[in-house]
Amino acid sequence: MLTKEEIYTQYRDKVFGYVRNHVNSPEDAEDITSDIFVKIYSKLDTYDESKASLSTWIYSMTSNTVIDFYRTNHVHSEIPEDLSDEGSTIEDEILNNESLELLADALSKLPQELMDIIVLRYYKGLTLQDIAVKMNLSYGVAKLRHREALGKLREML
Amino acid sequence: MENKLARLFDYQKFSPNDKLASIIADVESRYQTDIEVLSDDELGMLNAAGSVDALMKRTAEKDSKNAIRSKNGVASKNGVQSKNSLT
Repeated sequence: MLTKEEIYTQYRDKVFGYVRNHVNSPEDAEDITSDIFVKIYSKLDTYDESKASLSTWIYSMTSNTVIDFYRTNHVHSEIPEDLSDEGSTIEDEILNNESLELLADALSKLPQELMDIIVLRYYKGLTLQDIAVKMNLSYGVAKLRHREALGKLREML
Repeated sequence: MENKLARLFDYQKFSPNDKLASIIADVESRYQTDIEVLSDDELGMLNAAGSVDALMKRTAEKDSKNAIRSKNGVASKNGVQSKNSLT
């Protein structure tokens, strides 16, 4: 088990990078990052490595703290879709480097157009409407391709 | 499935996987033409295309009119006295 100091050294940049990705203000990002490490230290004795890797556990705390930031600042409507906390129950089993590797393999097996739609939708957070414009497709076609891509990924993941 | 993908891609922002990062970079490179900073050459072409040149032309016309006026000893329109009228 890592010491608090080692955890800070190993995860500080990851946590800050993630927070900065979701929060516009660098000052807010700094404050949130500090809050996250306070939480991590205070809950460290509850961490159970048989349930999740340390990385997943810290990610979970980081993600939840960013959601809390949006909530306490009364910007519910601005909570990024990819930060929905509905996923928190499944994350322990799916969030690790191996899962990302599997996702990468599955994406690379998709036709380029479908792969682009998935990345633009779930990584870049674009709406299907925006994706249709970017990819020069009608909204209807973008919707169809999106569904097709989800179907193929469901079979592979 | 959608939720799973959203969580996986969000986790990628926290702990990037190289293979996935390269796929993302590849997709991003195909759609990054939205905001582009124009180079000096491109800005020069914009000038040649119209508005700035037209503005410069108008300014030049104004200057030449003022020069003729000052030659004739007439104060320019904006109230500044010409060199000739001062001497």
